[in-house]
Amino acid sequence: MVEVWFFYFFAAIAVVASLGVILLRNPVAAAMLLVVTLCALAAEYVLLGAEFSAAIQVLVYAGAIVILFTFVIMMLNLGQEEVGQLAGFSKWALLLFMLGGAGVILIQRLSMGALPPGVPGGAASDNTYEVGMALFTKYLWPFELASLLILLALIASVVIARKPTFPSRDA
Amino acid sequence: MSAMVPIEHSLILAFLLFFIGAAGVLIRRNLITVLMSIELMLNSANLLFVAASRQVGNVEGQVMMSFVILIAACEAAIGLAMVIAIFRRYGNIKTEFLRALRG
Repeated sequence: MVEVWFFYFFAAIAVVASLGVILLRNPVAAAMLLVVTLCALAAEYVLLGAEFSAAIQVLVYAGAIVILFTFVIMMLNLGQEEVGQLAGFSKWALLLFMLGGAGVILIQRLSMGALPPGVPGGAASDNTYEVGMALFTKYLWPFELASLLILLALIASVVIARKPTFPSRDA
Repeated sequence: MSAMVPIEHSLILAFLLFFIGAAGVLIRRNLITVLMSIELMLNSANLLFVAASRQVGNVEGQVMMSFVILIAACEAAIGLAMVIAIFRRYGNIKTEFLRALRG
């Protein structure tokens, strides 16, 4: 029973922190709240029996991606005044969007009926072993293609972000 | 680990995170915050994968979740490189300056 209450506790933390991510005007504070959201989700993964996913969530997301965001915020030297106005998006349109989303959730929940109960004891005893076996046997080719994709993203981001060495046509 | 949270509650949490992320894309003008909102939406997809993996009792959802994290890392790297390029070109990163494709 304790796990269930921990689930709702971390769910509340994730929702509040993600609201802070989209509402705060200071970009550094938004990035730190993104770390809080990601760590709360990692705790949810542990409670769902996915320890390996929780580990790569903390290592890759909170450790690498948010650091990348923070580096860019520091590099561009974004102050409080430069960032932070809400777009000229109608409050009513936003409210309609949220209510529509809630309606979709409700309709889907009502049409789903009762879901079948989960497999009891479904969590593997050695989660990392299971995920590694699946990655290196059944999903070997997607895994190798993923490394190629990462290499492409690395080269592309270097090419996009470097200073242009020739004058652009419309400059 | 045997006391299970019903999967509907995980789904509701994932829907909430997705709508918060989508609202962030809609209401913010700052490109970095827009990218962070996209990360929130990808995280809600990850939560769905892990919850489904728990529900059906195998690890394939967790394998897919690691691929989604990989795509998110690539997306963040290229998106932030584009933010730097946009900052060099326009001097700030507000979305209303990006109107070159507006007819």
